[in-house]
Amino acid sequence: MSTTPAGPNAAATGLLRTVLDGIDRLGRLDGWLGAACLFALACLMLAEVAVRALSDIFPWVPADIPVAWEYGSYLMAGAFTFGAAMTLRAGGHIRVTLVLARLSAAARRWFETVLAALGVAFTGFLAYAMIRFTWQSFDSGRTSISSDSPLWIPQALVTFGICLLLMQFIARLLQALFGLPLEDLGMRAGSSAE
Amino acid sequence: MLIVVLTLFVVLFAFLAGGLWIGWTLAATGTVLLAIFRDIPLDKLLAQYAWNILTTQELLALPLFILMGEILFRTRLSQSLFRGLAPWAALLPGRLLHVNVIGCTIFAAISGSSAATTQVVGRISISELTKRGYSRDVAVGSLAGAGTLGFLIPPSNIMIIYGVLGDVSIAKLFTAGFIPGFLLATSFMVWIMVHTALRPGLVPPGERRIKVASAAEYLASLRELGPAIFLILCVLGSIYGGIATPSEAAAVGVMGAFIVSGLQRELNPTALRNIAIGSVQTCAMIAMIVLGASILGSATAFLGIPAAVAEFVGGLGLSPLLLIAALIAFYLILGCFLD
Repeated sequence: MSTTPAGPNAAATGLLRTVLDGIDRLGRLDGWLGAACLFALACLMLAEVAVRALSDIFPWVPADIPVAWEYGSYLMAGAFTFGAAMTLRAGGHIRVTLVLARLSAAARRWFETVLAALGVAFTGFLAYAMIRFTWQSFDSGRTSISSDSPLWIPQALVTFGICLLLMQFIARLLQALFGLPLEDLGMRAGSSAE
Repeated sequence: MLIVVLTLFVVLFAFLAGGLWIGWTLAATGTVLLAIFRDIPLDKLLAQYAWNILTTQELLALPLFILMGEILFRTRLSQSLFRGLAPWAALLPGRLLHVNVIGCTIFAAISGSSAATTQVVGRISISELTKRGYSRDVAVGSLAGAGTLGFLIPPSNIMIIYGVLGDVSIAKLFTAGFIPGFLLATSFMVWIMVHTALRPGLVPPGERRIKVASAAEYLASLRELGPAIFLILCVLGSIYGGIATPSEAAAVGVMGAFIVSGLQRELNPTALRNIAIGSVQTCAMIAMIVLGASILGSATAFLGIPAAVAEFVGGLGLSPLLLIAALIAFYLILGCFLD
C-alpha cells in the first residue's frame, strides 16, 4: 500500500521516499509481531488456568505450567515495545499540544523538528543502553532465576522493538525537516465493524 | 537539594508544555537528572530499569484487559446493554438517563478502563437518548461522570499501574475500589432523579410517566443482558471462584470476549485487524508512559527527592485535611492536562 503514489510520503522522492516507506513498512510488521505476542500471552495464561483446573480432576495433569508467568512477562514486554514505532507513526502516543496548537504553521514545523530530534536523542540513548545490556547478558550467559532460560533472547526482542522505534523517530525527524506529513492516520485501527 | 528539585520541575514542565510525548518527557527528565547530579554508568541503570518494568509480572493483566476492551468495543455489546437496561431504567425518575450510569457500572466490572467504558456504553446511548428527545447536555454529562467508574470499580487498569509504580498491593486496591465505586454510582443516580425532578424539561414529554413493560419484554431484556453477565462471570467469577488469579482472569475475560464476539458474528477479518492494531497501539502508548514514570520514579528515589519532599511537607505542619486538600488541588491542576 505504501508504494502507491498517494502514500503518506507521496511528496518525497528518490532515496528519501524509499527510506521513509521502508521504515513505515517495518513499523507495520512490528505492530503485527506485537499483536502476535499479545495473542500468545492470552493463550499461555488460559493454558495455565486450564492446566490448574484439570489437575484437580485428573491426577496425571501437572499442577501448573512452571514458565507461564515468566514467559508471559517476556511476551508482554514484546507486546509493549513492538507496537511503539507504529503507534508513533499513527499519532497514538499522548502529549500536551496546548502550545503546539497555537503556533503558526512555520513555527510548528520548526518545533516538531526539535521535538523529533529530542525523541531521536533519548530513544537513541535507550537503544544504545539496551544493546549493551543485551550483549552483556549474552556474553556472560545470564539466565533467569526461575527457569534458567538465557535472558538475552527476550532482551533482544525488546531491544529490536526499541531500535525500530528509534528508526521511526529518525523518519519523523526527516519528515519534519522536509515538511512531509508526520502522522499516518491510515495506521490507526478502525473504530467499529458495525 | 533545592537545585535538584528545581531542575526536576523546570525540565519536566519545559518538555511537557513543549509537546514532547509524555513517556519520553518523564524518562528523559529522570535520565537528565541522573546525568547531571550523579556520576554513575547511566546506560546500565536505564536498561535495567526498562527491562525490569517491562517484564513486571504484576502488569500481566494490563495488556489482556486492553485486548478485551478492544474486542468488546467491536461487538454489539453496546446495543444489548442499552436494550437490556432500558425497560428497567424506565421505572425510575429520570428514565433512560440511568442507562448511562447502570451501563457504566456493569461495564466497569468487566473492563479496567474508563475510556473503554465510556466508549462502549456511550456509542449507542448518546444517539438513542438524543433521538428520543432527552437533553443532550445531561445525556453526555451523565455518561462522562459515570465513565470514570471504569477506573474505580475493579478490575481497574489504573490501579494495576499505580500498584506497580507505587509498590502497593493490587488486590488491596481492588477491594478498596468496590464501595466508593458503587457509592459514586448511587450518587449519580440520585442526582439524576433530583435534577430531572427539578427540571422536568430534561426528560422528553412522551416518557415522563412511568412505563411498565409487559413480562415478556422484561424477560427479553434479561436475555439482552446475557453477554454482560457472562463476561462478569468470566472475569470476577473466575477470581472469586478461586479458578484464576487476577492476571489470569483477564485472559479468561479475553476468551469470553472472543466468545461473545463470535456468537454475535462480529469476528470478521477487518474486525480482527482492528482489534490487533488497536490493542497493540494502546499497549504501546500506556507502556511508554509506565516506562517513563518508572524511570523518573527510580531516578528521583536515587537522588533522595521523595524523602526530601516528605520532610518539607512534614515541616509545613499541615493538618491531614489540609494536606488532602492540597493533594486534590495538585491532582486537579495536573488532571486538566493529563489523563
